[in-house]
Order: sequence, then C-alpha cells, then structure tokens
Amino acid sequence: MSTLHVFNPYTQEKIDSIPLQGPEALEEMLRRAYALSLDTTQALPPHARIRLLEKLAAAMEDRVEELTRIAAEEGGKPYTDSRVEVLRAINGVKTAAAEIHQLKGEQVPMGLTEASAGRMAFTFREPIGVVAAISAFNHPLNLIVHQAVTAFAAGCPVIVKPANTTPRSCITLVGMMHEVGIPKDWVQVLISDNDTAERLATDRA
Amino acid sequence: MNFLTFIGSAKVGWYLKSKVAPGTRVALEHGGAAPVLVEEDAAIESIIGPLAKGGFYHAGQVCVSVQRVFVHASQAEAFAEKLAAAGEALVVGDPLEKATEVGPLILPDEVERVAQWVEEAISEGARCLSGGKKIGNTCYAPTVLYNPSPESKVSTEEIFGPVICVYPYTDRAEAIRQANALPYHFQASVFTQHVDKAFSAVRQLNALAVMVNDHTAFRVDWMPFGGRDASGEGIGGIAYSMHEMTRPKLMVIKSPAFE
Repeated sequence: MSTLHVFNPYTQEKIDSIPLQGPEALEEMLRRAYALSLDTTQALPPHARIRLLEKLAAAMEDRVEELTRIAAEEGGKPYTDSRVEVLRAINGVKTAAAEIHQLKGEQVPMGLTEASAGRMAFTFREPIGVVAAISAFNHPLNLIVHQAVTAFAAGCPVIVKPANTTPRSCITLVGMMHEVGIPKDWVQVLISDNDTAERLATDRA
Repeated sequence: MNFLTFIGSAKVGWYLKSKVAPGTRVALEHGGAAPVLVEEDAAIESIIGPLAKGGFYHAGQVCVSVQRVFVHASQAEAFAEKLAAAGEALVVGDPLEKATEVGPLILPDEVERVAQWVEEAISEGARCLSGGKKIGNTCYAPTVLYNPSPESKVSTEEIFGPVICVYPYTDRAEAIRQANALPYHFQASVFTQHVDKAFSAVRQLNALAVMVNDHTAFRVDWMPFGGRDASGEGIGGIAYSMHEMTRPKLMVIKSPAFE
C-alpha cells in the first residue's frame, strides 16, 4: 500500500505519513454509505442530528488551539487567520444544526378542480442520498464543514476526500464527529490518489 | 453517486462534471480573478487596508481574492503606490508565528508558477511596484503590478498568489467591460461615496456577490456563495448546501374527509 506524505508548506518538513486507500477500500466505503442511504429505518431523526452537531460544536470549542495549529501547520495559512477559520467552522456547525429547522415543504392545494377533489397534498424534504465531497487545501477545516457537516445535517451519508496537501484537519474533524457519537458510516474519510477520487465522484451504483 | 460537492480548480471541476453518472447533482466551487471598481470619488486612504487584506490574505490563495483593481486614472498611481507600501509592510514568514501575516504558498511549484507569471507580466509592460520576488523557496512577496497588459496571464487567469494588479481607467464603462471580460465571475467590489454609482456597479458587475466599500474576499458562512459561469455551479453557504443536498417528496392523500 502506498503512502501519502504531508509536508509543512513553509519548512517543507514532513509532518505526517498516511496510508493511501485504493479502489477496494473505496468500494467498501461506498457499500456502507449506500446501505445507510437506502435503509430509511437507519435514518437519524432531525433531533438526533441537531443534538450530535451541538455536541460537535462544543467539542470543537474545547480544541480551538489544537485545530488552529493543525490547520496552520499543514495549510500554511497564518496562525491568526487559521484561528479565525476554526471559529468560523464552529459557527458553521452551529448554523448547520439550526438550519435543520428549515428543511421543510409546503402544502400543494387540492380540490381546485373536480378531478383533485377529496385530497390533501404536501411536500417534505428528503436527503438526496450519498454525498461525495472533494475538498480544497485553502480552508482545510472550514470547507469540510461546508461539504461534509452540511451533508450529515441534511441526513445524507457522506464520503469526504480532503486535499492531499491538507488531510489532517479533515481527519481530525471527522474523528471528532465519531467521538461525539455520529456513527462512523455516516461520515467516512477517503485518503486517495486522484484516480480513486474520480471513482468516488463518478460512481454509478 | 447522488450528489457531488467539489471545491477546487475549474479544470478538474468541469472534467468531473462531464464524467458523473446520470442523475448525480453537482455543486462546483472554482476560482475567479475578482475585480474591484474604484470610482473617481473614492477615498483612497480608507480603501488601501481592505484591499491589501483582500488580496494578500492567505497569500492570495482564496477563490475570491482581490486580483484586478480598476482605478480612475486621476488616482490610480497614487493608489497603487500606497497599496504597494501596504504590501511591503506585511510580515511574511512562518504561519505558526503569531505575528505572521502572509505565509507560504501550498507548494514550491506554485511559488515558481507565480514568479513566472509576474516576470511575464513585467516583460509585457507591467510596472512592479512591490514584491516581485520569491522569499526562500516557499513564499512569494506581496506584489503590486501597475497596468499589466490585458493579455498577460495575471490579467486573464486566476493568480492564486499574493499579487494584485492595478489598472488605470478613464472610461468607466470600459473598466466595467474589462472587469466582466473573463469567463470567471465570482465576487466583485465597488468603492465609492455615491449610492447611485454603487447601485449602478452592483447592477453591472457580473458576480454572485458585489461588495460595496469592502474587498471581494468578504464571506460569512451563512450567506450564498458561489461562482457563476466558469467559476462554478450551484450555490454554497451552509443553508444553501443543505437545501441542495435534499429533495422534495410529495404526498397526496385521498380521503372522503377532504371532500
């Protein structure tokens, strides 16, 4: 199995080595994600998603300094601006929890014609299914909130592939999601080369 | 795959979109070459700080970084010199040091690319007022280029480095035409004291968001955010992404009770 080396972009020192996952590992991740998505009995109700995201935000607030250093060290954004990014990411998690309140539908009028008489109709919003998130290096924590935390908040299983220059912020955040109680198959991290990432994005199952 | 959210280069994003399975909904967030229109009446002193921040923040590696600033010719040179001085004053170095304001580019190859683009712009007529050089192998000095050719890469492609281009104009309509001329349209700015000029620029600049009297890199995470045209597809922002990641189900109930 080949390895992803992560460097400090300022000093060019190696700061981490992470095993790369190949197509077989991706297939297993996809299998788990689709299984969750297709089985509505496993869906997490909105109140459970809200509670888990609130716990995540609280956990992040306890680790601002650590998250700041991880992001600044691998991404190269200066400490002060990286700290702003971490605080934004926490705010984003709280916003996602709050926005679950706004996932709602509307009444569709019936009885306007004889053919539609005796009916009541309304819409509600369902998760779209499995989300593939492919992210960038420039906001290594906050973009994961924008792409993966939103997917979880919307009720979608998500597989997130961080930029290969900045995987540690993503791995740390997803680890925290699991620590606060989000079942692992809802949010999975793919560390891969570009070919495997393309397989994720273009999966036809 | 039911949904693909991609943040990265336009080249990769449009390629992936061309390959996704039928039915995959796609959200793409690429880069831009954000334009700023500085009107004739703008108070130059007060806009240097915001534009230096918007262009040099994260060494310009932001999809809405200030890149192309169109300044009325009556103030353009004075503005560019002050902006260059602001760039020179920034602390470049180790991102883990709390005093650092501009860190490295993500890869040494990117430093080389930015250096080549700046050299090309200078050889094609731009005047380099600050920076224009590497600092070690991993950083590039905050750079202000005055009046680069509209054909130079710094005028036509996303730089994604700490380089701001200043273009003097005398014809406002032509400046707006230049601002809109690239295939990338993401965020834009106008600086003026006149509300009617501000409204006019907001109407005419092609962007999802136009900032009035602030730099183009302004973002809070609950606002709609996204690129138009080559810069992307779909609307980001926490609530907007969550909406995109859900879809409506309609239930029609037939019952005599509703007769």
